[in-house]
Amino acid sequence: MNSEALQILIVEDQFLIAKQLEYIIVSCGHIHVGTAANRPTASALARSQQPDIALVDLSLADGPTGKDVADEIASVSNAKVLFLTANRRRIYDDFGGAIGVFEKPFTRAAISAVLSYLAWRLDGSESEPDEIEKPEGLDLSPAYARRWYPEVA
Amino acid sequence: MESADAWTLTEGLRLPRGQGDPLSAAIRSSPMPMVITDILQPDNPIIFANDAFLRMTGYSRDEVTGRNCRFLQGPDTDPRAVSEIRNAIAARRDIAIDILNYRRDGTTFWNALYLSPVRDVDGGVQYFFASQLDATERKQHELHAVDLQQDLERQVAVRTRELEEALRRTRLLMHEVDHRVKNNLQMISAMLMMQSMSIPDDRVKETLQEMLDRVDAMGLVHKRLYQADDIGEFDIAEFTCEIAANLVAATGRRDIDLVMETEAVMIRPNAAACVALVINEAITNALKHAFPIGQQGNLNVAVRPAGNLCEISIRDNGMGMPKELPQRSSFGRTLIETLIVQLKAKIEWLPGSPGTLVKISLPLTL
Repeated sequence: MNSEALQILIVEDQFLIAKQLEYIIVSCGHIHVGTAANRPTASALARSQQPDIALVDLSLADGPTGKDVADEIASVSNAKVLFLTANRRRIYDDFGGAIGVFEKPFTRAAISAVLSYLAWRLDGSESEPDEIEKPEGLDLSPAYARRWYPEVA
Repeated sequence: MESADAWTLTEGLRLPRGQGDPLSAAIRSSPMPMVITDILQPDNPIIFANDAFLRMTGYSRDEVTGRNCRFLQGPDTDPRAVSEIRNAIAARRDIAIDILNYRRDGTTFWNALYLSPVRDVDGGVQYFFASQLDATERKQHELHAVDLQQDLERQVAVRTRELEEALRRTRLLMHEVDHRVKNNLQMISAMLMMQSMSIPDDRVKETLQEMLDRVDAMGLVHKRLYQADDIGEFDIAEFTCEIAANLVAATGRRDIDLVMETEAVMIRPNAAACVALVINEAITNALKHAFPIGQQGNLNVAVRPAGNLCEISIRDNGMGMPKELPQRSSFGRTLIETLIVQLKAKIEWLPGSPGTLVKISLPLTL
């Protein structure tokens, strides 16, 4: 694995999908800090575990609260949110403070690539590991696209 | 010879009741309602009204002579029309206008009024000449036409709203179905992955992994189908790039170089899943068998249009074909054969030098 292992929180109300994500995360050498199916749990876990990344489904057990969850996670931790949703259209252009969105269904290879990419991007050290290309299927929010690809904007 | 408008200048007009004047006789007996008013007198009174005017309005000559024409107006007369007439008279110019007037008995009629100044020798205006025409029927047609049009516009607006609402509901439904299909595909993928991890038998594990790859390939197709702006077409080239990259990445090997050469080729969406599964089998097969661990490899994948065909080639520089048909399993072979027949496509497994070249020719008019 390049870069450091990421501490990852899963926010997903489909338990099978959450379990699959957990397997993928661990098998890629990252650390799964917990899974939440609703907003209060997500908030509590974000506060107590202080993850690097939260993978957040847009529609959760308590309704389409994914966006609120993302805001709440951002307010109680430094975690960066990546939406992982089968309903890409629900985001339109309002990403809140999220990094972006990856649309379901995902494959192991795709999630692995996305996590390697984020690990590289979020690595604070300026040790210049090799640049990693943005994985296919990962859509950055306008804010992150500007931040990470200023030459395109 | 007198000029054509000599009558407007005639001294005779100063004699409004000149019995011997053929012109005034003509006006008197004309079937067209006419009046003459004298604007030099206070309040511009009628000094002459012909019989046709009296018939149209229901008044007697005595009742109208000496009065201003405004007695023809009533509560529903448009004040804007009245003020236009007033302005024309003040400016001493002619005017043609439709105005709602009232008869003596209170009934209304549309009056197509034409008003023109009558000038004397010095160019000054002493009289106004007015001809009227009962335009009720024409006006009703006009108003009816306006009503009809407004009614039509209202109906169109209502129908447009209904259609927009129906479209919105349809979109919502489509998104909902799309969302569920994607989640369900993800759940199938999750089950296969979890079961493959829990099984100790390597061959069963591998079989499940193969099935997982197929489900993932179909998931990718579905995702791309609904991401496109136009869901009527599916770019097989973009899909091939993505699945090839995914499959190479999934090997976890860094020593396999993937080179893509693709041009956009649009195929019909209902063929997308089948084509995707064939491509998935072919690439997976190359990755499984061409490059033993430790042997660096190149995988070239090309997609290009060729007339009515789409040509997809997958070339490896690996070990070459084994003696038997290069299929991962008998099911993999059955799968490819079945789909190729359905797609009316052709697949060839050719020896490369080194390695293997798989050529798929797909008719674009499926």
